Amino acid sequence: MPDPNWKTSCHHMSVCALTGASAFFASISGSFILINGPLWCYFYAMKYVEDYDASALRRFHCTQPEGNALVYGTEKDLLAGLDFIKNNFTPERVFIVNNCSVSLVGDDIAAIAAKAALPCPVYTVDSGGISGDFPEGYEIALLRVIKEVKKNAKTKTDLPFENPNLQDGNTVSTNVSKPENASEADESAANGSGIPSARPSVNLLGLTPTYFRGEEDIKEVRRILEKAGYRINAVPGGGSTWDEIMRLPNADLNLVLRDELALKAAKALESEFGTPFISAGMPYGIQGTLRWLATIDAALPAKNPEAVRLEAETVNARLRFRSSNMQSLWGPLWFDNILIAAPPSEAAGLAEAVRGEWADTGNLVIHFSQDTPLRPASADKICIAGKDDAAMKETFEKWNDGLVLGSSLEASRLVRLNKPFVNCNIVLPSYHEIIASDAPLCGIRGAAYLFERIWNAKLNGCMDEVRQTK
Amino acid sequence: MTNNDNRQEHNSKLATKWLFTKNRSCSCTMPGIWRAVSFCDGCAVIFHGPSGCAHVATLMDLGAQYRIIGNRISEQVDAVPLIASDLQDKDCIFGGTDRLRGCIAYVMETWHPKCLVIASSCVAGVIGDDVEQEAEDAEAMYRIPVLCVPYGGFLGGEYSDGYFQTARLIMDRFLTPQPKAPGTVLLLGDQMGPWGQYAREVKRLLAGFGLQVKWQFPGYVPFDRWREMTSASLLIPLNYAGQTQGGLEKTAADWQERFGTPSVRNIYPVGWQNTCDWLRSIGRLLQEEARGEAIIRREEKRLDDFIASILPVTKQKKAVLGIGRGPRWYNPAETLNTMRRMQMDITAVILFDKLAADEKETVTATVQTWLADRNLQTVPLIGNGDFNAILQDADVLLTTDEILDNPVRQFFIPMVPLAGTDGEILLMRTIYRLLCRYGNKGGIAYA
Repeated sequence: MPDPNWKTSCHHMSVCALTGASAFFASISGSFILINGPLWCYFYAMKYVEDYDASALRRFHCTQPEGNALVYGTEKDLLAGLDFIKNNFTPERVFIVNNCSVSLVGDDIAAIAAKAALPCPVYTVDSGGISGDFPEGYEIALLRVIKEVKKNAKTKTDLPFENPNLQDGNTVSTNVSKPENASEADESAANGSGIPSARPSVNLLGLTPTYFRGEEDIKEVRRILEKAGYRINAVPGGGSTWDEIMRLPNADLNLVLRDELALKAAKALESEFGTPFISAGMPYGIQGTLRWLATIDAALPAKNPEAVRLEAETVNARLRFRSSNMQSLWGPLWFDNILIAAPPSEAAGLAEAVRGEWADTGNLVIHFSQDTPLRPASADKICIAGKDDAAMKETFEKWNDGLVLGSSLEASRLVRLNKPFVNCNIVLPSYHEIIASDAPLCGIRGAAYLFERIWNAKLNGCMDEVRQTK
Repeated sequence: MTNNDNRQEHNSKLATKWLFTKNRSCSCTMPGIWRAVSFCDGCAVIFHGPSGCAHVATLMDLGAQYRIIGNRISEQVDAVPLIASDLQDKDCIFGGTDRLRGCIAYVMETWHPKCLVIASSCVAGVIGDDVEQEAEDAEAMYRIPVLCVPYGGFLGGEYSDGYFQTARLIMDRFLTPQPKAPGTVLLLGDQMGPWGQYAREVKRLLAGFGLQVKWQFPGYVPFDRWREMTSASLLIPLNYAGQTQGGLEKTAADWQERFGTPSVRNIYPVGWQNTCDWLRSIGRLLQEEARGEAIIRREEKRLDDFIASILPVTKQKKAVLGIGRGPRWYNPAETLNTMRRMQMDITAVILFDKLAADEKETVTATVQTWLADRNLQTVPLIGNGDFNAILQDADVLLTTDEILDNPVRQFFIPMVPLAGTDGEILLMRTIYRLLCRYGNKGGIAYA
């Protein structure tokens, strides 16, 4: 019998690999996406991305093959789709993404695309639901683009590399030498100053604007790293242009922010270009952010980590002062239970931040939406979607009260079970909370924002309870 | 010329938000199968496919739940478990039946369903898994009914095909004729369930005849109570007015023939005139015509009182109707009637490019007939995309599709029909509030 990894969808939420791949490709400006699959699959992928990037709407198209195409091939539909794009738009590149059933047909998509004779490059991937969920699709897309980085590097005899000058450390992968000072020369050329900059450079891997407050998190991660004195070389999937992505090998270090999205890619980049990487995770909480920065600093010394530490101290002092004031009126920030339901990087980091820095509880449960080796010490119980669905079911059924950090799905379950709770969304889908401000969840700004939301959740919960008892 | 989202501008044509056409399979059978039992306590559903398929169905359910919460209504029951067998790459080589068998065992052990429903995905369809055989084996092994709809996701048809096939399987397997319980009603169809506007309004209107809605099928009756349903004395399909939702009509006719429950078909309470006709039909069926007329008078007064309250704002406002939804899903006469009732000045009817040629033809004929019947032939019907100027001059656009990058105030004509007097009032109130809007806030107003 296969591994017991059945997915009870009412206990956790994801979207399929088609969406993950599409989200990655859509983040590269000028790129068009042609989903080679049914309208239904296309629509859900497109809508998911379009919710966070209105421009994606015009760049997302679908071949909408009929059932017979799965017997006779999708060539006719694919050519029609490519013709539509050719005749109506001016893409810089097109990504054809096969859905799961079409990927089984075995069409030679590249050859069909060549027939369409588009005036721009066309790239193809299979990334349907049988490949997995969003992370697997994102990973497929990132690895596909890295293939192009390799090709691009091979065609350039003068590809600049630099000596990352890294310290040894067990969180750092291999430390491979490259030609010296290339990235400095690259930066000085880029800024036109002619003066080499000594700033160490990093690529940020595993970021996406299509996660909850993803765009804001990308900005915060960039802000902190730049403040610490790093140069951000590229953020594939997080807003970098095609040209910036092609320069991925120029960085001193690859930072993997979400293993589930980019660990394989970091390994591929290390193997191909010798760029070392660390699996840094996402920075949550004030102390968490400082620990995160210290890990990066240990691998690639920052120019000015003190600037970040000073900012963190200032904000932390403000949060503690506010917390103290509120506690004098409302008592401690206590929740009988805390449930954190999210992908591994979010859930693990937030569990440590919430319980370690802000709130107290007798029972912190994590529902990881993907398998992970992470086992944060702050958690009393850890469930992994697809492996521990019975235990997840129990979490909901035995829930009495507390704080839920998850998506609208967890809130929906508890509403239907008529269980009391307060909540803050930290992942999608987010139907009962609007995302309009530019506040991130991660980093120092994110810490202040989340601290505020958790306090307000408690206060609103108290107010609601009093109103209901009248 | 291109802008930053690489769109080409086409002279003065305006782009609607969605680009796809509806002349091919638009949906998938699997969510329909799920929806047909999604609130039937005692059931569990397996999607034999990738987990993404189950996520889509859950996302749909979630959207529906929050739409209901948005109306400040709380659902009273929980959805049944939906589990994906999580077909993966390797299963496509060796077949996925082992995985399905394992999944069934897991569901039996974890959820203890009294009835299991299995839907197959397009992947299972392509690799040729014998899902029906697995269902048969599971039934023998676990001694519970196992319903199987091996439609292969989108390969087997649309959402409605999955939905109605599941309903038929339930009818075939579990239901038999029985004596009728006077005054009880069975609602047939979904329309967002018992908490949706359609079902709530129908219940309210039927209460005027002393009728009590006891069940809504498929989807909202616990497994243990399925057999009761044929005791209903009246069957009310929750259909669209003036459109063909064939599956529902057919199921209602089949139900009446097999179980002897009379039903009101061919007329549905969507739009005011249809609501009156529907009430009269029920009055005739119950031989309570006078009561029906009394209900109509009461409802008409509610409607007239409401219209009187909004007329100072709506009267003679320049309104345009935008149509991009085919006649299978939408009857423009209903919206035109509403505009007329609000005494708006209909300045144009525009047809969006996304309508297929045959759809455009049908919609054009419907609109022209409506205009001619009211001596409004001078109202332009624009089908060439050049409607920028007319929108610039309009106070409001009532539309099936959002127009991008245009400052005109837009009202989205609902996909799920609003029923009865309350539905009509809800529509008009949203349009009224839109006309009251001060400043340009963008977007589109939903009822």
